[in-house]
Amino acid sequence: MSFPAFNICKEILIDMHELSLAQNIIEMMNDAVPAEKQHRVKTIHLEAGAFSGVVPDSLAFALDCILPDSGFPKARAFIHEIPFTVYCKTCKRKRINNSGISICEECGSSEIEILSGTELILKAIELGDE
Amino acid sequence: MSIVTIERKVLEKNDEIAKRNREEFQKRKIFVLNLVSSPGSGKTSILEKTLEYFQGTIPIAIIEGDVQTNLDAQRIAKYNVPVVQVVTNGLCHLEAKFISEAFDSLTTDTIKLLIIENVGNLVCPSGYDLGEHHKVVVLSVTEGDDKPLKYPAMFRNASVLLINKVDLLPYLSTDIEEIKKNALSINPKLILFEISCTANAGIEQWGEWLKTKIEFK
Repeated sequence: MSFPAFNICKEILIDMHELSLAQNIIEMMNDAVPAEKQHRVKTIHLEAGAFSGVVPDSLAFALDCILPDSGFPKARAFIHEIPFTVYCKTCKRKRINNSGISICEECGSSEIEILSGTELILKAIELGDE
Repeated sequence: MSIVTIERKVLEKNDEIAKRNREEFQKRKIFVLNLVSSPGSGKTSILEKTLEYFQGTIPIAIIEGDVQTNLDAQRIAKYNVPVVQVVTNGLCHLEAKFISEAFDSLTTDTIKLLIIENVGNLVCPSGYDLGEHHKVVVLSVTEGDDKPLKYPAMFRNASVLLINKVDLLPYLSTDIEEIKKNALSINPKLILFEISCTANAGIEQWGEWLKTKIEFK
């Protein structure tokens, strides 16, 4: 069945959650890059876990909205998605659980350690030449 | 071209304030809960039942978080306990700095239990540590048994799950065993309680658990 859909939700979400994260990212960049170099920032590298609760597209859009009026008008964000990876202490293997469950999908053990997939990290910033 | 390596968590500042909040709560021996759920699952009713259960035997304070209105704080104020309403004006979650300010405005030195009712939202509040000892997620049976799988971050970051409105189970296709199975598959360490605020069921078990935690503090 198909029906018309209006994606108003995205704007609302950005207004609330991803926008506040984008503001945090700009603050961290202000701390990391001296004012005289800020205009040279070309690329912002972020890592977002598959189960970090962040929608990469929405975060990228939020950053696109606020970067032009920040100290980093030329910057573009690259959000690298990190899979949900667990280490099973029973079968002693590392695997990706796309479902996000904390049970080993191979042996069913709940003795697992989450290695990645819940993080949101500002990794690095690339600066272009003068 | 040059690269500046940063390698910092985006919510680092919030986490720092949350850590300070936790140290302050620890120092004052206050047990703190962060109550999270989707809107309408019964967080405020659970607070009311909890206050009725303790009937003033333990000094309790409440911080209410809502996008708009102070309706929840009005409900809680009837119980004659210290309450602060945080209105976020559109923001979908509470942050550690709001809690630090709200806590400062609570004018009692004798609190043993502080319960923070977060904004009704099963997504955004999951990433924000407020400095609480436990995140308590409420899921009402009317929401369906698949919610832990659909909103895994919240269930992963919580340590207690209150399954509310169990009195409605006879009228629903929701399978409570499926709720438990799904929730435990996301977080095998979750502590579960089945409750109904309307039928006053399970409140005693929840209250007893709280008591042991408060006494332990």
